[in-house]
Amino acid sequence: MLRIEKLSKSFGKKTLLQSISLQLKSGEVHGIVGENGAGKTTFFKCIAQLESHQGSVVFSDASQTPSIGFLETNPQFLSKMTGKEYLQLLCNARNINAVNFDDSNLFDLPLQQYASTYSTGMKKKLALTGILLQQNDIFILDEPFNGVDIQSNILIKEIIKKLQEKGKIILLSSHIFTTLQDTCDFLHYLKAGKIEKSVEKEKFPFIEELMKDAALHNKLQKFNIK
Amino acid sequence: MKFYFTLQCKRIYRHIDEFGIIPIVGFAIIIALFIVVSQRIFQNLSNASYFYVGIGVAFSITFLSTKRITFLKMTFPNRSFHYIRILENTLLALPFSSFLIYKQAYIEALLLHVLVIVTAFFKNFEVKNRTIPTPFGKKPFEFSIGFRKTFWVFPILYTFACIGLYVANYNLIVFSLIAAFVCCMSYYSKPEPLFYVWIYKKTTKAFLLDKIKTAFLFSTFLLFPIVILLFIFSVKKIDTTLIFLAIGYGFMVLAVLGKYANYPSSVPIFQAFTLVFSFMFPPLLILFIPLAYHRATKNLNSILSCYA
Repeated sequence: MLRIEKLSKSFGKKTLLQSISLQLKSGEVHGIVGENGAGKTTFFKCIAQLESHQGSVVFSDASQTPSIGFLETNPQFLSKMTGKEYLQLLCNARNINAVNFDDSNLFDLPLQQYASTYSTGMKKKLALTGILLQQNDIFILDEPFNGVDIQSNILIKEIIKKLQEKGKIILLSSHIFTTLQDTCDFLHYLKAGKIEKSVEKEKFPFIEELMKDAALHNKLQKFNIK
Repeated sequence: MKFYFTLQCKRIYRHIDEFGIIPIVGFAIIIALFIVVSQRIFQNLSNASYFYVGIGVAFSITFLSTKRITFLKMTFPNRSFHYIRILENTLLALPFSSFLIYKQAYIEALLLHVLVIVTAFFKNFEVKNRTIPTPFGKKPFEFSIGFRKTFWVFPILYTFACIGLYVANYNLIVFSLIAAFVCCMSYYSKPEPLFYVWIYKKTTKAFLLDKIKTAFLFSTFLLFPIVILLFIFSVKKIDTTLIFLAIGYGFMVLAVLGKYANYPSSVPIFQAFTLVFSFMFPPLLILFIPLAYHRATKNLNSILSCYA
């Protein structure tokens, strides 16, 4: 189990995350939704320890250090590095040897090409393949469906299901509500750095309504499209 | 167009400011360095003016990245795009042509401006999609990326070393060795994004040792032909060769540790400071290497905290 307790994050006087507490059990898929700038990526980075924060993030199985796989919204690729070398680097970093990259090429990517020349969707697929090869315990997927073609979206949903069956902990965000409905067990609505509402699968429509209200409330009328 | 150039000035100003130098002082240093280096070129080279024209053109070509050109093309109408490219190349060539005029090389100054205006119509010089094979695939990162950017340097250096052996010039082979070391060190000049450090399931010590080991192994691979030639050249000078090698490897270690001594900042103040002073007085490496290790450990501990 991954226990997040009173996680807060500030930049100077600006508070980005306020006392967030969550419990994520093995085999559960948790979705985080919220407007742009609500703090989703910062929240993910804090869990991954990529950002310093107040509060605690504890993995309950003290006997092992959990390995976390983090799929960034826009994965960064260094110039002049091929797709295969990227995967090799990620495996080296976790001491994973003897990987057959051709067999592991889930998305049929041109692994001999420089990763920086890939399209947005291909970059995301490569980054996802990388964290899958790392055999992580926890998967943080920041907008995994964004920019990816329909076939690959279907494949990603299946991958998430497989990971769930293997007892992995999955935390993801998406701006496409149907993808969350298809993959998540729980949904958390993040607004202005706070978890406004957490619901189970049956109550997902409630979150959708909340978000619609937030998006449409007065804003469209004020803009007065001509 | 006016806003574009004002923005470029602001960006240069911010870059210097970010480096930790008062921008006006920074500009003064850049101008002073430019004059000193230019003066040295004219003092030490025959036909320096043509070499100088070459540097000016090469400088304008460095701004020909596909990304930049695409951005300009997408942002500005076709006519403005060409005006901008001509104007920025002219501005870049201006310091060089001014110095050429000062040296009374009027034709060369004119030639430089004609050439940079011609290059303004070039699309790019990048070999974008061709993957250059490297022998560093098992541990891909600094060396595989760096080698692809500088692969052409090594045949030149190996040729220099062979010429050195042929004309019995030990110093020329040593020059090739030093240049090869500098080239390998340059692979560690730019810090990687945080993600590329965070992914490691290693303690800080193991991470740094692995980086140093890789740098040792791969630089040895690239230096090997030159080192062999040095040993063939003179067995009597084996002690001098070994000293050069020891200092060279010392610099490699400092380059690796120096990158993480300022990490994740992209401003390499510590690295630049220690490398410059060690170049002037190499025994300082004994002081700077442990210091860089200490600073790197401190910086990396928070990033690799999960496994520390």
